[in-house]
Amino acid sequence: MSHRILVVDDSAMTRRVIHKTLALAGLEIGEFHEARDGAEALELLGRHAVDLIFTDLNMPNMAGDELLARIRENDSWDNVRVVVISTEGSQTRLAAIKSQGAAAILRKPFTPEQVKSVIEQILEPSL
Amino acid sequence: MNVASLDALSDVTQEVLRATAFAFGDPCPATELPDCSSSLLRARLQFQGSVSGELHLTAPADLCAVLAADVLSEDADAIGQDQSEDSLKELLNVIGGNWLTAVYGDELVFALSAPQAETIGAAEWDQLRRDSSGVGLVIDERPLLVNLCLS
Repeated sequence: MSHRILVVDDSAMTRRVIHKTLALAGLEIGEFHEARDGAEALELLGRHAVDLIFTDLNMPNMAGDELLARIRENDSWDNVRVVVISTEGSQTRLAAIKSQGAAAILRKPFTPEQVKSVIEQILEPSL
Repeated sequence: MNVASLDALSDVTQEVLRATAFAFGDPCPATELPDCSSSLLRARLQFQGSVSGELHLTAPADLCAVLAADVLSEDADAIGQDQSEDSLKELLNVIGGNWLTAVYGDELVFALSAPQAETIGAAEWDQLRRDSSGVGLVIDERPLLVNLCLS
């Protein structure tokens, strides 16, 4: 089963690295979309259905936690799973992000094996 | 400047370079890093919390291109200035987040700015490496410098 993916990060290089890492992790990618911040991601979500979002937290215009909150407010995006990828190490903030509805959190730097493990957790048994 | 903070900065920088760019840096006193006549890139990142300050990551542009190429698994010749700057900013972002956790633990919350990158000259490089807050690494005979400036 192929998945529709959206990667949200203000670094073009990081978006490419995540794309490559997802492929290395064995995720079958159907559609792949990119956005530079939360605002651009919301605009894109209005035009394209996606299954899985990988988002950074620290971004200009709209940060990842606000993007997550906006997605969880909208019933039509209930089935969209959001994985936060960040350098954030504060357990306080990570717990808040989890309680906001993040499916998983990946800490940078990450390995393809860690990405694969997270994908397996949140997409099983469809992977 | 707290020596333990700088030691942690050196350790975290080496680990992030290894994990993201497969680059191995040898620690070197900042003041003993070589002169640089080539173009240099510097990324800056501010952090705010119970402690506030700024981190700088500086390296010759050709090393930044090599690091970007390693991150992307591409040829360094295909890397443009934008990608070199992007690579340096992202490395500093990861170094900053991991260093804050390593030094201040995982309970405190810090706000990080979006990293900025700029080209600097030999005079600024000389000033940065003489700063007591500098942590030096040598990667394939090229210098890389991290500076910590607490507010």
